[in-house]
Amino acid sequence: MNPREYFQILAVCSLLFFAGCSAISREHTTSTPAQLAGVRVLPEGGHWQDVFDASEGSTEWEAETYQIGPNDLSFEVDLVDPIYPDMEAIPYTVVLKRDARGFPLEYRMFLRTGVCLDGTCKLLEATLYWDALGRFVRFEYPQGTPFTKMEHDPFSAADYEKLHGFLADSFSILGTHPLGFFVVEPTKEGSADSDTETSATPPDAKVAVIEGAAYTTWVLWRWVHGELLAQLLAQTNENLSGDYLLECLQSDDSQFVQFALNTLQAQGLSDERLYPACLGVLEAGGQRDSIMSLDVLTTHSRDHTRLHLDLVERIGINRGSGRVILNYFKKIDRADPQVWQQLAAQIQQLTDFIEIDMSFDLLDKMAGDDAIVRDRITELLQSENPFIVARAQDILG
Amino acid sequence: MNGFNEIQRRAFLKQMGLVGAAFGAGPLYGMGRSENAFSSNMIWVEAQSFTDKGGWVVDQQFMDQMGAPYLLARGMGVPCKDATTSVKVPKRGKYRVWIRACNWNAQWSSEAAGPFMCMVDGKPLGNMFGRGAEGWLWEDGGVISIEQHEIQLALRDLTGFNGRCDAILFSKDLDFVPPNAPEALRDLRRSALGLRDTAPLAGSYDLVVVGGGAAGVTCAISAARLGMKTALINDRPLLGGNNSDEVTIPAQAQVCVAPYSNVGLVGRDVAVNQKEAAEGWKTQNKSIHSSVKQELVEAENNLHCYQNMRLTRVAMSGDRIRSVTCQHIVSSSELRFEAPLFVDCSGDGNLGYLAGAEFRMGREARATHEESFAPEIADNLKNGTSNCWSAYKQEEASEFPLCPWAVQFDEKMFRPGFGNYVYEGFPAYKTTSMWFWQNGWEKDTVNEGELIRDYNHLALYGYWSFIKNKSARRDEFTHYKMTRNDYINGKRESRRLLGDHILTQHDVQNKNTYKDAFVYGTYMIDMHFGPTQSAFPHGEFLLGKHVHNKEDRNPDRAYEGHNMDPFPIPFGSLYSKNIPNLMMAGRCISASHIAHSAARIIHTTTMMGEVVAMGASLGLEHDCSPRTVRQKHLQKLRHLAEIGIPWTPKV
Repeated sequence: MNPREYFQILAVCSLLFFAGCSAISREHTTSTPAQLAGVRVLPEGGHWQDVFDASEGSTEWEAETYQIGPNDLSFEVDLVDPIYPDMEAIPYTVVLKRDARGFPLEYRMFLRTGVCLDGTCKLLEATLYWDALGRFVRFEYPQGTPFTKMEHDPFSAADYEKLHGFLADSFSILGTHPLGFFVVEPTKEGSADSDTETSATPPDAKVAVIEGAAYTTWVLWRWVHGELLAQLLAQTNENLSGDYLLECLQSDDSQFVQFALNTLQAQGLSDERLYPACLGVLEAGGQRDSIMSLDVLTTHSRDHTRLHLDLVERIGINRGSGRVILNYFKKIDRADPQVWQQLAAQIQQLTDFIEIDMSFDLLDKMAGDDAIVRDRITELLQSENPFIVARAQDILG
Repeated sequence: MNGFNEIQRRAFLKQMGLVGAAFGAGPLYGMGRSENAFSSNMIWVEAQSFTDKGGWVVDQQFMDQMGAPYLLARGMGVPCKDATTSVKVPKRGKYRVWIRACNWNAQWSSEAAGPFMCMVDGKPLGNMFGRGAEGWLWEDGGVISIEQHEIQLALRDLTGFNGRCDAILFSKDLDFVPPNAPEALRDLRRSALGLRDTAPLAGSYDLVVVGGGAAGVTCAISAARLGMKTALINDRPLLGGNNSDEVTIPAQAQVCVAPYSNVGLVGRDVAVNQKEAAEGWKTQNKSIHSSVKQELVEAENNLHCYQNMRLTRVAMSGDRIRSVTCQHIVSSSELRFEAPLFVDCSGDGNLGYLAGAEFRMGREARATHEESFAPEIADNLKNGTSNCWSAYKQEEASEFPLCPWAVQFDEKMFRPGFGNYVYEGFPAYKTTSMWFWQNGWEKDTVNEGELIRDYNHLALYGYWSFIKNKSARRDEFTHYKMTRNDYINGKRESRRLLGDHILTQHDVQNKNTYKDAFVYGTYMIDMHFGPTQSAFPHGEFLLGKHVHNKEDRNPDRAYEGHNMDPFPIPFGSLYSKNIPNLMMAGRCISASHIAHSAARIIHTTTMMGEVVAMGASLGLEHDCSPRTVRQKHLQKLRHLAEIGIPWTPKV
């Protein structure tokens, strides 16, 4: 029996049990003893949202989450509860914080959800934060309503820290394994403390969840890494400007650089400031940034001779891009002779043996007969670097 | 000890690196001596003798095949630190420099993965090495002029991908070309290093144990505790073999198995299981696999441990082993060991092989032992070899180079992994290999060991490069960095030396009764095969499937995973049938492929070590062979097995 089926049966049983005391519904939530103790029972086919009372919980906190400044933006997204993937999506409000220039800073969303299988547990309330690229940043919770574990023990500081680590791990098996893999199913007698590991929890599961709060960990992870991410990124994409892309290209965070390069690959280099910015990536970026930047430049530059000369000038500046550029030249059919002449002139300055070697191979293949190139290679016979001399001799025969 | 007193021995052991893992020897080079044939116009430098090895490591695993230990650039995608040394030059003038290197991926790609440079006094030679034709070859470094009496040499790794250098030769004869043929090269090297035909005697021992894995260490300690003067020879700086810090395979199966519940008391202390390893990390923040063994070995007064010594030669008297000669894997110096009895715990059965012991590799035909798990026709298949790797999340983002020369992946090859358990050759997004990554099922695990290791690495580098650079989920790996990549092979199977008894599937499954069985295995028959589906043009690298006797598992022991009811391993499987003074413990015992797949487990092999030591002690006492012990002194052996190895406190 999967957790959902189990839950549905238990929810019905719970309803029957509570039927004599009170009807649990959105309209009558405040009158039940169970609810006064912070316990909720989910009606069959209902959402957690259905059992919340607007007057309960940390409404101040919720309101604070959704407070927006003059540069901020508030929008609604339809999301499916990860516990009930077959149910209809319901709207959630997300706030986009922006700086004075209108650049996206972070997204936040308030979440209130149940964290146990049998529907009897304290509700969890938290605000989740993502950056402009939809990467999880942190969570916060209202003062006085800490996350709780089995037996309603509050999370310790170490638990919060560990939870953050688990939520930040996009490779966690929380993403590939169903809830039932981590959480013990409630017994027939019923248990209010079902947020624990299964008795046969595999070792993998034990290192992926907070002890005594497996359900909480699983549910939060699913919200943090769920379908919302694509919508956040779409929101960022909707409000892109040349200024923002420039800022991304100059970022120390490689993923912003790559976000901008992906965008430019699709949009082109219409803003003339972006061409030198892409060359800047070749000067300072890593290998992957360089590959992407080179793709953008070679796809969208119209003046290939200028581009080739600009590329040759950047060989030897940055280890991340030197071999990438040389590999690009290995694959092209031809280039203006000036390009090879420039490369021959630069070899003496190169320090990376592989770049030196690749440069000679390239000249041998592409410009072996070019008189200027041969003259420059001849000059390299005077180099103090015996490897350069030897490679020059190879080419000159 | 003949001609080698205790003080000398201590000094020698210190020099040889007995203590800890240090490679202590200085640069080793031959400069031509009048008493040998090596030309006085040449300088020979063994790469592994470089004073500062930087990020290069000494790899001795394949010296029987390629001729010597070598230096391996272990950068894991980042060029490693230079190895450096100084070399005295007796004669000034011009020299042609030769480098013996290997383009290790030449058979799979035209682009060399591990080129390196050799720098002389800070200047590069005129060639890049390790990108020549396939195999180990001398590569011409060109002619240089040397005007000083001492030069500084450096090996500079250019890629971080397993560049390797065996030796550097400076020749004043500019036309001299060093030989690549194995015999000629061996003669030249021995001449250059001034090695004599007969190595100095390290000592005469009661028992010489070759191989410092869990079985060998247990055997040596047991022998020492039984009063035998014992030499333990290990070809690595760390003890433990598969159960060392370098391979970290956890000990599985049970020790102290009834009815001989005192067999395994030493092995229990020697071999480190998963729980103990985890506890070690927790309390000491390091792997304890080797240090546990080191402490136990050092506590034995009757035991002399020779680390970094590799068995290279065996001298025979008729069909008996008279002595073994071992070479230091850093200094190249040799020592000879004499004893009336020898134990092969080398895993590969190297001692038995050199002595001419009968052995088998691969799977027997079904009819050979009437084994239902065996194939109709005998074949070459063996349990695969693993080189584990892992990557961990770091504070800093990191990159990994593109590896067009490695095994190539695409998204279609991936599927979500259930934990780490992905079978049938499909990779999953993972940051650790565990033991699922393996290959070499159909290869010669001894003579093609380097090839097997290299292909494991070829797959790993391609995989990680794809994950980091091209995969759909590459952003999620930005902060993951490869931090472990074993270059020491984790072998499951190689030669199986034949004894008077050959353990078979029947012994394992039917629990036959043997009077001479004092070791009891408790692990299921666990055979590893490659995938049935072929996904990679050059070969597979992931476990395809297990074949095992699941049905024999004891349901009461289900929590113990692969354990089953005990099966006997007779003493007759623990000595050679045709070398009278040779015994075995470990994966090279006398067993069929099928039975080996159950007996090869570390804890089980340690119990073999204990019983072999008991048998050896009786052999010494009665001046007889292990076979005679089995035939005439079995009652005494049983008595020893019943009481177990005595514990001897450190004096």
